[in-house]
Amino acid sequence: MIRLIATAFALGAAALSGPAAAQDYPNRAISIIVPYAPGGQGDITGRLIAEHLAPRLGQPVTVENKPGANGVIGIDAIAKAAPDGYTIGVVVASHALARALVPNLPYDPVTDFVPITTTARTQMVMVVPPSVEADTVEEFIALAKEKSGELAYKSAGPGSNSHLFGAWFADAAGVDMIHVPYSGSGASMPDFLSGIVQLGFDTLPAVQQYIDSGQLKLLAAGGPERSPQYPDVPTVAEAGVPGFAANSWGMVLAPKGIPAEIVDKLNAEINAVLEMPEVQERFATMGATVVANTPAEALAMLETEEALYTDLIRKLDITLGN
Amino acid sequence: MDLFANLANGFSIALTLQNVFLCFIGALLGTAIGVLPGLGPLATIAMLLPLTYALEPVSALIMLAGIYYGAQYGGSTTAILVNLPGESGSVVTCIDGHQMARKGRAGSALAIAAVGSFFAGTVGTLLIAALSPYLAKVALSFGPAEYFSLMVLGLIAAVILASGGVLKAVSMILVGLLLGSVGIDVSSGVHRFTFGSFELVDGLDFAALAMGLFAFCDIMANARGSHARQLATGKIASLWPSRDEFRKAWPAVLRGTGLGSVLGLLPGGGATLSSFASYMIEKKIARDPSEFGKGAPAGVAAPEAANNAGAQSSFIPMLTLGIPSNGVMAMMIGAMMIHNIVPGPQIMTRNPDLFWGLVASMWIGNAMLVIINLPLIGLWVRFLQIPYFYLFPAILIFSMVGLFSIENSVTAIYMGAAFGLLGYVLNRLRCEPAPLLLGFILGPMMEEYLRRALLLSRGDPSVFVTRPLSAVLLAGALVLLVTVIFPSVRKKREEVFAEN
Repeated sequence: MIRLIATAFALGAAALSGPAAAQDYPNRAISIIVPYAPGGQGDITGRLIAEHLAPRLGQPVTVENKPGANGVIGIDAIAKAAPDGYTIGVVVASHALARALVPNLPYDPVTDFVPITTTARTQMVMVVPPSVEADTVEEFIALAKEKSGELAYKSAGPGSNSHLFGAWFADAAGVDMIHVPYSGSGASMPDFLSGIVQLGFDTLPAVQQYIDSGQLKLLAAGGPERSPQYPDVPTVAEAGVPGFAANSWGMVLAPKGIPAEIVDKLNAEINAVLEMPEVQERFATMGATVVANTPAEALAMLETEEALYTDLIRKLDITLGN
Repeated sequence: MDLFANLANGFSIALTLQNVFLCFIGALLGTAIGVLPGLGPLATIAMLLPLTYALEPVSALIMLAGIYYGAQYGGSTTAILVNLPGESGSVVTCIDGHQMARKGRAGSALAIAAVGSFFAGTVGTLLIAALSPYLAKVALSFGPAEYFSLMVLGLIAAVILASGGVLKAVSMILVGLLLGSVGIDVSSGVHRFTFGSFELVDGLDFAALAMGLFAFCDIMANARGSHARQLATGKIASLWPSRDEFRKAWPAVLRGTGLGSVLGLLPGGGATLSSFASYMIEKKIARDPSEFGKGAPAGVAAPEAANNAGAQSSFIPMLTLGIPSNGVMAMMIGAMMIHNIVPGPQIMTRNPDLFWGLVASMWIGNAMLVIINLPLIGLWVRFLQIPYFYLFPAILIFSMVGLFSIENSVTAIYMGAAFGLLGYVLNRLRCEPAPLLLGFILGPMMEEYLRRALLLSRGDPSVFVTRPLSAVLLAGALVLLVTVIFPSVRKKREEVFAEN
């Protein structure tokens, strides 16, 4: 009985302290979980935000790398964290593929989270090695039709974004291609540069040095818009595969149940960080453009992307295991 | 000439304050663990792996490489003074080195070993610099089929050239292959042997495996042994070899260097094999073979030069083909993968600073080692007298901090502990864990190349024999396999390792 009363008091106190906690937020250190290994886009995003957020909030902001299982381990840690604004996380586009691909996913990629803001979009590009006799998307499709079933596209692993984009492109263009997975984009480069595999969708920063040195040919921009660095190069959609848009983005997420006041405060502060000129410059060097939208826009984007990829994965029959 | 421009670039990287310091730390640590019997370079590199996460890749490799060749120097000190091999590469140095020490020629034996090693190290470094670019060019024409065949050849050669029983080596490789298959399959995305745990999706942690099998296991094995160590001599008179000793030693250094450089290139080769083989040869060609075993300077000079030359040249296949020829090289590849560097021929073009910086640092490290080992010999004699029960707890705690820091989770520590137990069982069964490590690293690579080659050929397995390079490599593997079955070859092989 005494315990019950004590519990009731504790609950009441917690309910009362809710808004108060939101008002003096933050009064201790904030942790940003990065569910990826140090050095990648997600990690750099997390570190950039942490570095500039700390002085704005007057509290330490730490980055905690929890890599593993394509982000599942770290994202699960975000989902299971207390929704008090002291644990948030940074995810990248592969987050939206997890539901359709990962069996027994321990969280729901959309409803278990509250998006804070979209950090940036990274340009995707369609590239081929110079030994491929095609300089445009149309020529490539014609070549792939002529050599049906002989050309191969590379990916950063089964179920990776690059796998999805390759399969989507082949399907939309109506060509039969071989999928050759590698463990990451870097591991595919020796075979790609020597023309053993003939097509790849990569982020611009991963291949820019090869495009500029002539070791790879840039056929098209993968995303919905042309690349600011290569304005003369069309998008895949413009070049004859309508509807195709390979997106790559980053997003700050909090666990569901986080008070709305804290979401607004974090959104305002993180967007202010993202709009700092030096942060924008840093993203530009990674081939990315800062987005910094509202929580509602970020949620809408996450829902759209998730629905699109889930449909595509089902339609293209991509599964892990065959 | 390109070679000199590249070397100059390498020296400019290796000579930065940080890299010189790390090279020195590596060489010093290598000497220390070389001096201590029981702790080998594999264990030490395993312990330091997590520490390198925070370093630049080139700095990390410079330090780890320093440990390997540093251990070749340090190991001879213990072999000569205590008649115990401080490191497996100096097993044969005990035979004549200790006899020299008992005759009062300890200083001379130490000097012959150190200077011989330095000469061999210099030649080995030059060889890497001169040979690697050509090998890398050849390797660039390799496709998945060629890589697969090369790895088949490498694994078979590793079994044949490894010390100990063939059956045990094969089983260790198979255990390694199995352990390597844990986690997400690169080709299909299937989760294998994960038992529904997301912790295992990325496979067993390399640092945890290496640290458990080598560091933890070595500590357990040493803890049950005796601790008494008898020094042959408390005082070292003179470090100068006599005229006669010098005359006998220098041709042996040349032969040892030559042999070690070649044997280090082979899969399964490296320091240990080189030192055994060169001792055998010296004994065979000596005018007075009866001198061996009683303190022959050539019996110190040749294996010491050979083990260091072998240690250096075993970097060549690792750096140019991305294929480890022994356990330490498997560890170096693990270290590169931690830093997202894909080992292979493209390293030289994509990371020229890493390649040439590492090569230049090896020469700097070798020069440092002569200084660390000769004038400071008194320090190492003292060091030999530290009881292990002071050292072990410190090493264990340091290792566990390292394991935790990899992914900020305790899983790696549990994994390390489990592999420590496994390693101990293997140790009691007298199974070498180094082939296991080779299988662990090579297995997943081999599978990837096999399936990629088959994907590209649309499932036609003839691709392995219709591509000429691949066919040659497979034929080489077949020849090796056949010869080892012949009794005469088998007998010879047992003879070479009989003194182990």
